[in-house]
Amino acid sequence: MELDELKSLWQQQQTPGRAHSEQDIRAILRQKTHPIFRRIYNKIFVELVVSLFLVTALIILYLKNKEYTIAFMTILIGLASGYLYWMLYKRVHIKFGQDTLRAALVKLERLFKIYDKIQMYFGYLLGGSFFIGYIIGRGINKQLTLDKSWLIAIGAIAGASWVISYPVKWYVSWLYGGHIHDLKSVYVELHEIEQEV
Amino acid sequence: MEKVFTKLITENQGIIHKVCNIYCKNEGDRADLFQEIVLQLWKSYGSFQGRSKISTWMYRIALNTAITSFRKQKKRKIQQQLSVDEFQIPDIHPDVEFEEKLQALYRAIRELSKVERAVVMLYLEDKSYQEMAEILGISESNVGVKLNRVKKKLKKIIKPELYGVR
Repeated sequence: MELDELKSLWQQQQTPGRAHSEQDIRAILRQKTHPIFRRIYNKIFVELVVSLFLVTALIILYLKNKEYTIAFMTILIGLASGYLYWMLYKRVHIKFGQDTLRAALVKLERLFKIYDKIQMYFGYLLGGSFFIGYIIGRGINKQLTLDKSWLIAIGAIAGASWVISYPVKWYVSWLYGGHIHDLKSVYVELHEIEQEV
Repeated sequence: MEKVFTKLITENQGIIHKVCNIYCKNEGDRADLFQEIVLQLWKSYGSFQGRSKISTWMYRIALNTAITSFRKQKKRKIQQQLSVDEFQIPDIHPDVEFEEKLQALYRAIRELSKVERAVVMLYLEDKSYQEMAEILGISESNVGVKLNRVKKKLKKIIKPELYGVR
């Protein structure tokens, strides 16, 4: 069968599905939808709100006790999370009506890159912020002493930072792994054509 | 505005159904995708300024939604063994041979990658290179390259689908 025949076969088909009335369409408009990027935004936004609550509570708690370590740590994590959300919202806002498939995929690719960075650096962010928070907090309280136990503590923090990146990686992969992989291959396929011509 | 929109969708729903059929194997997934596409069209209807054809706008959003939307894969993998239900296209056309050929065509299209499915669908819809480029966001020359490859691939797949020879 030649391709022209396929074309005519395709064009002869009648509505290939249950015909929806205007009432059906109106009913659909009352429903909600959850495309992937919206789910990710919502999830990150919820995480951000929760972490802001925690940050506030911890700051109050630790300022009362004159223990600044965790306060600084939470401030740093809070700032990093806020920056991340702002970056995601500004740079990865897909407009279905205006964006072409390629443009939407380019934006999704940015989202994946940011996700990759989160996976890679989350543990280090935790460890690093704890370390900085500890130095500043102890410095303020004039309790900062550098001895042997410091080396052990730094080693433990570095180790924990490295270890914690694995569950984070697993979590993100569990949430969207398969789908992200699919979309990446679509992006590569579409991009590949651009590079070849 | 809602009235005009519902009328527009009702009249052009064939486009959405075709997209659903090439991207989803079972009825449940097709119904979900149909709803998702209609909602995306509705959300962007306000910003549609009529610069492109209404069908171009609809194809763009329908294909964007179908390719990027998040649907669980596991259930569908279980159904990868071919079943009659899986490839069921509503039996409206009285010609049995016509229906069989059409179902074989859908089966063949579903063997292509997501991007290739979009390209081949626009080709079968007789869209110009310019329109295809506008919908997919790639250059016309890229459309040409991609289309040539897809045509060859489709020909290869469709023969055994229609004549049962591999």
